[in-house]
Amino acid sequence: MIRRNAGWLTPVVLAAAPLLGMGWAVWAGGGGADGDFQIATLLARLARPAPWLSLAWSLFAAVSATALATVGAIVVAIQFRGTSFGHRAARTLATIPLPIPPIVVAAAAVLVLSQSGLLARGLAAFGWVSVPADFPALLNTPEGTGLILALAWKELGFLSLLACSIVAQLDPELEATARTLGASAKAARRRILVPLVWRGLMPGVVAAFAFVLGSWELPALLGPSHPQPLAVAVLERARDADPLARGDAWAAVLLLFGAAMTAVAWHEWARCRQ
Amino acid sequence: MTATFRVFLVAALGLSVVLPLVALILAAFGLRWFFPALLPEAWTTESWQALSGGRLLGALLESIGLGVIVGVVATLLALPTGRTIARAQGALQHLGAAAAFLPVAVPPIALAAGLQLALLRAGLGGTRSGVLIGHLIPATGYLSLYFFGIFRLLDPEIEASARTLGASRWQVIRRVLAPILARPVREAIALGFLVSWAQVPLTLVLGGGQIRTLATEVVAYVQSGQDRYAATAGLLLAIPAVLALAIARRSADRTGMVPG
Amino acid sequence: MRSSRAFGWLLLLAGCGGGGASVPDAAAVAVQPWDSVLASARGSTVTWRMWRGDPSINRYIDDWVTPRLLECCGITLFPVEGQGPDIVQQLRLEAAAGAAGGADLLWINGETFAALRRDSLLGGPWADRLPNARYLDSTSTIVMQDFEQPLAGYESPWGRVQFALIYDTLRTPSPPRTVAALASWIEAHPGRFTHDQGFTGATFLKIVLYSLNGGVANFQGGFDESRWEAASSRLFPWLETLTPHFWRRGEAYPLGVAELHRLFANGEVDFSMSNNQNEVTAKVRQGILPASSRPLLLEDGTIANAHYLGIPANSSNPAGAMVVANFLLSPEAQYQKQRPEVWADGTVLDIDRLPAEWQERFGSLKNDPAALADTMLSRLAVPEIAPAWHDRLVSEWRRRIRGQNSP
Repeated sequence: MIRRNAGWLTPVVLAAAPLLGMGWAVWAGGGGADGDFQIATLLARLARPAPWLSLAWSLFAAVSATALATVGAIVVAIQFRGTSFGHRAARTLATIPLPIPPIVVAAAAVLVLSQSGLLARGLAAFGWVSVPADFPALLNTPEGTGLILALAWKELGFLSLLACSIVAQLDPELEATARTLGASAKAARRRILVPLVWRGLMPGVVAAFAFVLGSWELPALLGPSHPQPLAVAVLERARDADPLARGDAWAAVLLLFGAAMTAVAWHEWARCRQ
Repeated sequence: MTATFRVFLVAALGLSVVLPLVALILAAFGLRWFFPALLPEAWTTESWQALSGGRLLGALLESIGLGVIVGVVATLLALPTGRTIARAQGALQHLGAAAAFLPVAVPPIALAAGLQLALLRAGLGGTRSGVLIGHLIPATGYLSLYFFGIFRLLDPEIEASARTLGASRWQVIRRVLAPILARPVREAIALGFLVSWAQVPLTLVLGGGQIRTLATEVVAYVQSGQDRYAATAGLLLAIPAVLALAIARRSADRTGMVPG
Repeated sequence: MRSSRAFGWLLLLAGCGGGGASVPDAAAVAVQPWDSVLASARGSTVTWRMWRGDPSINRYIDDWVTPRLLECCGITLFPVEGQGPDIVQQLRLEAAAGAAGGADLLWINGETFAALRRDSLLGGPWADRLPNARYLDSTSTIVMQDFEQPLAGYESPWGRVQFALIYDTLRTPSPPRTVAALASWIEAHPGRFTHDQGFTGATFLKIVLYSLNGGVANFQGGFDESRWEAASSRLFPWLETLTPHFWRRGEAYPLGVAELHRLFANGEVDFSMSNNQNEVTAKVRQGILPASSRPLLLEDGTIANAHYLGIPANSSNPAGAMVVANFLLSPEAQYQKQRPEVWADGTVLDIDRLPAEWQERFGSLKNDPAALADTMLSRLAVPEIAPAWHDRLVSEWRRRIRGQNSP
């Protein structure tokens, strides 16, 4: 009896930690840390536009990056599913970003994508750029171009690994059957492969999205000053000298938690559908 | 989608890997590397010499130590957990999988903020044990999902058949399960290692500045504009991670997830 | 260090929260004769939370201070990363949790000092009891007041610096030297100037604030809402006129001064800035700034301030912390710190009070030819004002200029 239920101890502890954190965030956000908890305080904080603006921008960046990475992963998995050297090289290259820690990705992105970065200097060598201002601003912009590219690159590593495994496990008969029934190669890919890979990839896409939404290192270095990405806003508020501003950090933390739990619920739903 | 397109794609992928790598290498060895120079004005190995003693080596050892412990302990905890979730049915299984996913999906900042007070009360603030606990939570959650995937594919009948044939519990484990699980366990340890190796917010917040890992060193160097040190530490951080992944990549598809 | 780290791994599962035994606080230790303080500190470890972001400073601490402390006083110094807001937050949380202190010594000033005093998180008074305190430049308000707050023995002065702009003599051979001239320069060179979102940028804004409002005298004597209203009504329109000519049209600001240095070194902007006028020397040596960089003091006056050492109220080793603070205040340590090839951080000692041989050595310190003359520094030095001005300035700037809705 104990042995049978012992396996549940770990999941309970695993879920307890973030839930505890959420409880603490609710309490501190309502003024508990200053000795005066009121739910109204927390609600007032959540009613301000600032954290929602940050959440909206972070969602925009996360959705864009994930969409880009998903398309890229599916393309790589389907176009390069052969065994030739070129195909294997492509798959390997696409998965390299996976183990690279986000802070290294951020540091490298600054070195490469800034207006005085390696890319700009390469163009300067050809004479197309004479001062850094000639190179388009990719980093620290509200459009978030550089940040989205860097996030997508990181996610591509993970998603292409998944997508390639899915393709490798597919029944080769499926595609062959479609071809004998008269479908062109392109149609076979589009009608059969892509939907199959997409369905298998869905849980991974949700996981990647959740990861990118909560990431701090990349938006801190590559994101805009305004609107401020949510994770960056949390840290800035938490360090403020004003206790009221510090309370705001907890409201923002709750938004992050909310987004995470939504992602978890969505992941489970996606997994059921597999 | 023609062959030309494929070539273009491979070239783009190659560029996306080569450019950052070249930039990091040049920054790690370069002195006075300003626009529009493609190469630094001078070269130095000063930041690499810091490896032979002092901060960087200390942080490296700290990261390795934490990573190995997290990898092993998380695997030990996650293996029975994954098995339990796999054996569960219906809503219970969903709850179990969601519980395992939650600490992984929750942004590390939020997780750290929540854990910090609890650890301080327990007297573990700023200690290695506190940081270890902080790393173990997402790592165990992640590996639980990994083993959940493995055990889902494993036929429960195998164990049962062995028992009816007269094998003792210990023999079942040694003769039947161990050979099947040997490779996944090895890979799980590598994956758990990776989760801890790359972790920044949890170490920063729970370690209170006293626990310095290679990842937090990179952050510190980037924030103080020490690009050469940041690139050096960054290369040290990235290369073993790529190697660890090479071990893990063969069956990462079991979870449906791999850490980022 | 490494063998102790290995040992630490063996003790891992035992956890290592702080000790539970009661420890005398800093004030109690301070009134003891110095010999007994030294004796109780011998053989102990002092954990020092300080900013570890500069390799030059780290080398001074790790390679020069640490071995000498071990030799003279048997103290093992253990520096850990920690800056102002993090230190305050950590100490607050430790107090809330009733946890033992993780740090024995703190590197703090201004803002942080005010916050810690407000929440009674600092131990003391103790600083006046240090033997080397007799050499302090006690007539200097820059040293003896921290953002207009009396030290009251709760922190011991360690070094002093002065704010300077940084420019490139090759790109900007005749730079603007007043705030007004800077404004014209910015308008004439759109996209070539900005400041960071951190402490250095805030110091720059304060200098502009003083300059537009008749000088620092207007802001002394504590925070005053009506004076703030008047002052900000001159500062923010000035900024709003100029920021469209900033880098990126003022829509993005570098996160910290490190990012600003990078922009400056790579030619994206033509000015950087630093709270330490001698930082240029160190950064050029580290290959981070071009060799043609020079510091520039604005004729309107630039902010000079000192940085200090404090002892947390929950420190477990106040005696050890005091011995370390005393050592860092010694002529020997202050001289080493001021050497341009080490750190180039100004001394808080009054040279005239030192023994003759030290007077000679300090006098012979040849600063980098690129550095500024002492007379100029003292002529243009302007003190810091109460932290409440700083907080208000930062939150208003975030709201009105950066565009983030803050409370």
